[in-house]
Amino acid sequence: MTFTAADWTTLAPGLVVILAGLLAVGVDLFLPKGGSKTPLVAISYAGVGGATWLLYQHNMAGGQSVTGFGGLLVLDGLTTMVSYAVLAATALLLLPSDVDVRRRHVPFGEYYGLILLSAGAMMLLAGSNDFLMIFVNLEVLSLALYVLTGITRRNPRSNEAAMKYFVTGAFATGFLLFGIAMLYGATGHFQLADIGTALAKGPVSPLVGTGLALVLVGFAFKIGAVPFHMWVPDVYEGAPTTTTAFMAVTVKAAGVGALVRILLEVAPGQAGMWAGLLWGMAIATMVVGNLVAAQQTSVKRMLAWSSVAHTGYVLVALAAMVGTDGKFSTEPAAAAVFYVFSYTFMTMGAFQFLVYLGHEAQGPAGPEWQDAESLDDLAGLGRRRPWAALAMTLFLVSLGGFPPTAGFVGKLFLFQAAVKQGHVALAIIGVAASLVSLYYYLRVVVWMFMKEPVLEDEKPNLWVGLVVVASAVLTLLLGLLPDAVWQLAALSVRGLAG
Amino acid sequence: MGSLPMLSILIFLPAVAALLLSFVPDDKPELVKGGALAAALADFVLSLVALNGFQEGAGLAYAEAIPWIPALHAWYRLGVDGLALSMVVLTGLITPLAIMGSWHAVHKQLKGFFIALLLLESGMMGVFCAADLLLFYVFWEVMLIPMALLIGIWGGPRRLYASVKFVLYTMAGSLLMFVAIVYCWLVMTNARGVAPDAMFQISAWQQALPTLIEPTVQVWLFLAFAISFAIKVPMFPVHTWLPDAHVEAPTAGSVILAGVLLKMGSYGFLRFAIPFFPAAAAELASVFVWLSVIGIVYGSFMAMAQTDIKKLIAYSSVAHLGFVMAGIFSGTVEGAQGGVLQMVNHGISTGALFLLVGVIYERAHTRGVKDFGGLAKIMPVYATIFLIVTLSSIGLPGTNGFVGEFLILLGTFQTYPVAAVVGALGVVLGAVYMLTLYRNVFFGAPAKEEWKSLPDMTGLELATLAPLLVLIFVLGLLPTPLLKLTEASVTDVVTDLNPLIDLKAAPALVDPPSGSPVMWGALQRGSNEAEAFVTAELSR
Repeated sequence: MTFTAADWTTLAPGLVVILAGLLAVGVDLFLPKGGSKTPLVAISYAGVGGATWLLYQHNMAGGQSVTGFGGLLVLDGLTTMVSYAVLAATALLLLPSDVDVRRRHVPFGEYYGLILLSAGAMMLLAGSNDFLMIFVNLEVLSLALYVLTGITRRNPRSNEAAMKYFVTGAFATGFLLFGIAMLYGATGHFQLADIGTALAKGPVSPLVGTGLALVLVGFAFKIGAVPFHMWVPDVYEGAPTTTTAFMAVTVKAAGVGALVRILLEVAPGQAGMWAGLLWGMAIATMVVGNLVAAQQTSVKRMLAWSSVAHTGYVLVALAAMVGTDGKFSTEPAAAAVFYVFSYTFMTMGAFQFLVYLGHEAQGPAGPEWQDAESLDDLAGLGRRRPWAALAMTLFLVSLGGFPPTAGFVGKLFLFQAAVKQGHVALAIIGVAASLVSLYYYLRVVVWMFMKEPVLEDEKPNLWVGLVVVASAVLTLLLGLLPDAVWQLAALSVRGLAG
Repeated sequence: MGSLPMLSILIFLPAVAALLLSFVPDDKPELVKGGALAAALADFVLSLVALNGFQEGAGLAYAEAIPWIPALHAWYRLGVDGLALSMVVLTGLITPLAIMGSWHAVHKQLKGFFIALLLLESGMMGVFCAADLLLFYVFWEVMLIPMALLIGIWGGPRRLYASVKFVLYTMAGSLLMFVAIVYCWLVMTNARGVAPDAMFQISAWQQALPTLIEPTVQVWLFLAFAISFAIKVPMFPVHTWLPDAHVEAPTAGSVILAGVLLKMGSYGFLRFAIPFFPAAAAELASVFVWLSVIGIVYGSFMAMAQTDIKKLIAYSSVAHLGFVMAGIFSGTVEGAQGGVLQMVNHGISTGALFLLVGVIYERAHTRGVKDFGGLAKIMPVYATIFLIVTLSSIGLPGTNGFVGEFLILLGTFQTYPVAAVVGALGVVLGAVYMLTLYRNVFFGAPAKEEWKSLPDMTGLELATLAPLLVLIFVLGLLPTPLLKLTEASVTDVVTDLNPLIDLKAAPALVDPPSGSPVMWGALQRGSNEAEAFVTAELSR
């Protein structure tokens, strides 16, 4: 078997990241125990930087869509956009990783290896043009994340979360696989474009509807859409906050990217089969996510529920691809891609803020690192650490869709696309849900600025602080000057949909 | 001033100052205060320069336009007309006074307080200067956060409740407006003959939307905008956040809330809700006039029942803004002009009242109506100033309040005579509650022995109030320049609401070059006599 240049182009960005991960695992073996682990950070950054450079080069060279491996993988705007989001999240996560890994007593090599493995798989997932590739990449990234969730082995909550994630994840995989099998049975193809052509051509087997629905359910599990969201709060809360930050943003980006590709390539003609399903899921997800988030007293759990709610906003865009008049448009998909991209920075920032305010606590097995979680941890922060509190306020108002932040522009694009397609009801429910969300986001602001301090034992770390600042700057920048990124997002879906 | 981006400087000068102040060390409070005041004063001077150079023209003055989000055809577009400019100057005036008024009143996180005030000013300036709808919306929202923080951090005992209530009420309105904006934007994009660059331009919306949207749809969109603005005004029955916010806010917060923020609601009606959807506005005008009148009477009665001075003034604001809204929706030139004048008046007199409450609260740490008594002898200067402001608030001829209320009633009577009569009741009731307040606080015997040692007003406090006092009389005797400034903006709204009106037949309110029309002359004379009367009374 020979590789062509096109094969390499499509594979290289993801492969570089995965290879860096494997290299980190290997190099860790030769580094002295307890000594400096800086080489691992360097290797990881080399992987992330290399992949970014490859993608950037491709963009600069015209950014033409390239198909490799006979149609298994494709490097186009969508792949690039999702990869950028994943790489940005990874780069932010790696910045304080050395100190973070150390104080959580996590094995070094495994940590870097797993992060990069899942990041690489996500990038390849976004470029997967074939159900087999989609399945393999989804499994690789999920397996890595199961382990990352339980990586603080001595922490029972972390273990419980990993177990839950694994069981529900396996369940979701079952659905997905079953759906793929049905689509294969109905059309005889794995490749998205081929399935799309087959469906467009002839009589559509009743298996197709069921198959598509099952695939949707599988993805709904992964991105945490109601009613397949039950694992999200528990897993997000139990996992180490750095892992939560990573999976909250990247899984959503990669999952939504893949879902957009599937919907646009396979089933634009079969809109009747999935549009209603997505419509209902969007509403349920926004309503449930926001209402339950409003009940939470733990900030971390609140952010987990809010992550569910944000999946709902994205689903609004996906459902709105099919207009009320049956007209099909890719513009809402662009809004969804933009939204997950902008979501990356505010969510990463918000979770890292909780890491920033963590402290050393006495666990069942000796001292262990504890991230800030409850509202009490943040009480009176505005006075102690005004800049950190200000940054968190920025993330929260951005999550709530307040201008002039990334979240506002994201929602603007989303709801504008939905209304344009005639989905006024979806937009109104989304806006009402945003109002509810402001209540619980602003409650954190109230606690930070208007309450007296309860605990003041946080041990801030400069590197984590740097991630918070970088995320804040990017959130603000995307809100003030969104145009460049929006152009990329708009381009990313243009070539799809036959 | 040619190419200088005047409005951008006006908007961002306070924000930049706030950023610089954040680097000042915490142990230099004087530097923080001085810096904040200097920035606010500079902004005020700049707004005066803008006013001085203002020329009525075809478009907006001091226009700036830079593409912002090309995908949506959203622009960073600024520009002011007479109405917006008068609000800009009001903002420029009130902010430094609010800063001076809180010179000694802030005891914690002083730096944060002044930074929040300056950011608030930036937001307010932006709201009035924006000429692109998305930009307007951004400023409209941005402004909320510093105000909520001002109430929530530096407010009274129930500050959290008040702050959250304030945010949720205004956000509920804003988000409704947001949906309406998106919908209208869509109408604009689908319409033929609209230049792509003008998709979000306010003036383009004013021109195109009335004909593009069906009257039945207009009603819904108008309501979406109107509810948002009505909450801000606040109109009855969505006013309930205001008393809480006012009572809990620190002095500066109350002053800005009353002085500028509430005006954004009525400004929104004049600039957006009515011109965008004139058919709906004309259809619903009577509802709004009656809601305003209910607000006047209800606010007045509530004010009478209050035992907290700040709450009393807050309810009086509901009544005063009722006058403003009644005038705007009356569909007459007099009413609308009076409404705009009353917007400015209310900013001046109620702003002054809140500053005065701040003065006494800092000394006595109580605000109960019945807690004082006999202050006229103990603090004569304070008593005099309070009297002048009280008289302005109840609209005594010779003060600014009179001209505004008179014009409003004059206008409303032509179109809604019954409503005008009921509304006129508010003038009487206003006198009842304000004068009762004055009697309780300033006459009789002091409620406590320790009040006898209360010091009178300091030089700083006098300096804070002096500009407002001057304006009370200037606008009371010479309202013409202000009326002239806002005339063009207002007549458009009047024709929207009352398409049949014959503007030429309406009595000329403004610009009587030499021979002043009868009504106007009478107004002037009445003012002069009243002014003489008040001066004589005060000098005794």
